[in-house]
Amino acid sequence: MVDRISTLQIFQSGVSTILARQEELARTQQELAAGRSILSPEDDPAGAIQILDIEEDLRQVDQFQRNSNLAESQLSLEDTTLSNVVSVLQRVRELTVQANNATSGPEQRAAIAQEIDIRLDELLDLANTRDANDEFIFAGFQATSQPFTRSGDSVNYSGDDGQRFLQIAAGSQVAVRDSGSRVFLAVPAGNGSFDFSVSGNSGNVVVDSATATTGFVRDEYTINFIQALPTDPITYEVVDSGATVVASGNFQSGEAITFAGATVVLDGEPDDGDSVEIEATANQSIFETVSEIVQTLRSSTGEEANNAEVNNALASGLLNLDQAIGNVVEVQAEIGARLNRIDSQQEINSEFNLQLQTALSNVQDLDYAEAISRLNLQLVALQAAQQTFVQTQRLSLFDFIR
Amino acid sequence: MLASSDTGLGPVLDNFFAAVQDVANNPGSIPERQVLIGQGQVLAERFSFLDERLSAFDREVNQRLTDSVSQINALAQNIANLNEQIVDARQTGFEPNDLLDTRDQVVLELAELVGVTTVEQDDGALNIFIGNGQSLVIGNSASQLEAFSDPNNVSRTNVGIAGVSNPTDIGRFLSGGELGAALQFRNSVVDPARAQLGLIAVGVTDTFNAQQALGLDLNGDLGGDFFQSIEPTVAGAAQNTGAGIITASIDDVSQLTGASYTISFDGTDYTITNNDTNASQTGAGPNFTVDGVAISVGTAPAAGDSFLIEPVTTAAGLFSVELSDPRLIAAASPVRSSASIANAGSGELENLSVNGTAGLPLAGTVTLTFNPDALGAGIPGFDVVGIGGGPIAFDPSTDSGGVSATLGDFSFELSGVPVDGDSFTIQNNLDGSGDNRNALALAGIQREPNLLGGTASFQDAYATIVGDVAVRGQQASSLASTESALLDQARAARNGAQGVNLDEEAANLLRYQQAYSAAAQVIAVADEVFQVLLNATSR
Repeated sequence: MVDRISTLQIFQSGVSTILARQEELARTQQELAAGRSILSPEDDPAGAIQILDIEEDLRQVDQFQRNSNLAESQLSLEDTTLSNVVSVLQRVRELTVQANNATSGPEQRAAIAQEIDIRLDELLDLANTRDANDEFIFAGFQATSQPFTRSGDSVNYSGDDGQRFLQIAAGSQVAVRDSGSRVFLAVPAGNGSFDFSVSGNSGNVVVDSATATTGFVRDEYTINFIQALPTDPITYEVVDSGATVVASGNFQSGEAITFAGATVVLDGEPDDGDSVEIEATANQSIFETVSEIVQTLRSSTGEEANNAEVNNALASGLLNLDQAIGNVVEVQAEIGARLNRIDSQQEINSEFNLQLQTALSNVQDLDYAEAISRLNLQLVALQAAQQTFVQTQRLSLFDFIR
Repeated sequence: MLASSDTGLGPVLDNFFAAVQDVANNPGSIPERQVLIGQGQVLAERFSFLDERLSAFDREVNQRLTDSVSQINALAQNIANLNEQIVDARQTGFEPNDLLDTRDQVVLELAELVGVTTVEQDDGALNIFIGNGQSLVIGNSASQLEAFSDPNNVSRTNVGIAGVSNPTDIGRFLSGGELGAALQFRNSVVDPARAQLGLIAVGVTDTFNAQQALGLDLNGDLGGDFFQSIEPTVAGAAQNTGAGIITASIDDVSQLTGASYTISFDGTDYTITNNDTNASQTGAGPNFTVDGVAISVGTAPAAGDSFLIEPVTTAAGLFSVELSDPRLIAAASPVRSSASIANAGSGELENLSVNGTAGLPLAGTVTLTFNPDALGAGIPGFDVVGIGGGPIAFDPSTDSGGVSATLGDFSFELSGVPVDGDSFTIQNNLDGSGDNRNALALAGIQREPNLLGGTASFQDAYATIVGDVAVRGQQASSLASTESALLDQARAARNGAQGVNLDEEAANLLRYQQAYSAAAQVIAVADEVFQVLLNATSR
């Protein structure tokens, strides 16, 4: 504070005050016109960085939503295809049950075999489904080559185990395809632990049921039937692949035979020397299962021993079909879970988008109420500065000296 | 410019990585790949634009320096002349007020160009100092400043004292005025921004190319460079006498700091100095690594020679797309794994990934077979055929939740409960056009902290540039308003001391008028008295 004000000083300080008020007013006006409180990064460096980050996040969330929509449509296609596969397999099952009926003769069985063969081709077509981009969806990574080809009675898979994943969120990927091997090939046969077969028997023993516990010891077993003399009771002996006897006893039709964690119920009358093979299973493709049923039906001659063989084979086939249906349904369940995940991720993404928009607005958008009242205040201040300037400029002692 | 969505780098970088995601969504399709190459070119254009704008600022600073220096020289000479005149005038007894005023005015003009301190000599001469004690005017002689090209970097203008054959750069001592402001702008805004931008350019190039190399393109070959590799620029100093050849390359992008380096040779040892921190290391060479830059001396230079190594400064301008054939984008992974269909257990081999390409393509299939006695009697694991590194220990009773394993450059996860004889294979991913694993990895680069010692992603580094420039801008603004307020105060004080107040003068005028009237009245009275006396004494 100086204690002496020169005339020049009065003028200069008046002018600089007016200029300062004008500058503030211009700034407020710019903010109102742009609708932003941050006009350039130097207004709020921390805010400017925040804006950059938020805008990047918004663009990413947008991309993730696009990716999820694509994932949804791809999984829907797979799901629909698999539903069709299940329908076909269930039709095959119906036909198999029909064929297994005692009243079916070789001609009926041959006709059923023909229809099932057509169903096999239908399954093949479904397994070779292509998506909108003309890629085979069950081929693993080799999506431009047809994965399943039929030659004669066997179907070959030339694809691989690959699965495609899409990024639906920053740390989250979801599978949008399953390989042909997963869906059609990796199906456990029999009851999941072992399968049974009968051939070359003269008696008519059939397998009624075959179950396994978790303690099942994987191996090849043979149930041999012994009747030394026609008057002796029929006994059975179960031997493993090392010819060790693991179970034995008198044979009773309809009674359970248990050994090494397996329980088998046999019906009918075996002859001396008949046998039932029990084999620990690996996987069997759906096509193989269906094809086997067709071949079994075609081998039907109508003779009693042959009938028993056919019945056993069809019973085994039904178990295999159930496994096949179960496998496909399991994949469908996984697809359902993935679709749920995508749904909830889309909701999260959408929620996140909203939060980001809100945050962005808070950082950079103008509070109109505050800005307008500030504008009015500054207008008043400028007016006051201008008016007082004019009035004080006019005052001079010279006016009063005569 | 840096923060705007129209001209900034952020949106363009995001669009590029969005295009990578689209390729990951549909890896076998050509249109998405074409779009990715296009976005790469847009990114290159944006880098180039920003680098050009920053270079333009750099050139503007050079021009300002040159102009300011010639103005300063003229003013300094002027002050020296005035000093001489003032000293002469004082010696003859005059107080040369006009000359003093003129000299004050010239010093004011000089102060607008560069910060000065003044010391008045006893004989009236004013000595002018700049920087940290560098004399500009002593008495009647003025030193001259010179704007010269930095011998290590021809595109840079420095300020030094004229008249020496190898002028030293005094720029870091000068502050204030236009000259000081230009130097500060260059040092703390333009140079760091350009270096960080270059760092991002090198980071994107290196990490993207490295991931491309780990993948397979649509032709079944390992991926080549997507962006043109950016080499650090090496320039010999203008006064080098030898014919040394020094090359540099980027060894580890995450270690780069954005600084440039000077390597000098004293005849036996090389000294590498970080031009930002002045930290140095000495060694006999011929190979050195500093902050992720590998430097190697091909031909030794002469003693006294030095070279400037700039790993990132020019990188943004050099950034460009190398690839033009969309089929060459490596979206697939080079290998795939399979479980044998005959497997009876629930074992799984998953998350196969490739960390290096030695041994690719595989000569044959690699097979892992579960064997309860793989590592010796009763120690279960997987026997490995087709590649070294086996057998791998795996105990289904404890490891079924998943364990990581490596074989050569592959890593994967083993889990579940396999049974004796179950096997898995790893093979070349032939015809795997539906595979998008490498594309997902390429997209993942966007968020990874690849820069600055693994602490910053590309967006973080860019935000730092924007933030730094913004803070500087804010500082400059507030400094300007502070200085402006100080200037007002100084002017007020000066005006208070010397300025005229008209009302005060009017009041004084009245006072003098009244005094004059009063004095005139006294004379009138004296005259009357004298008249009376004269009349009284005359007959």
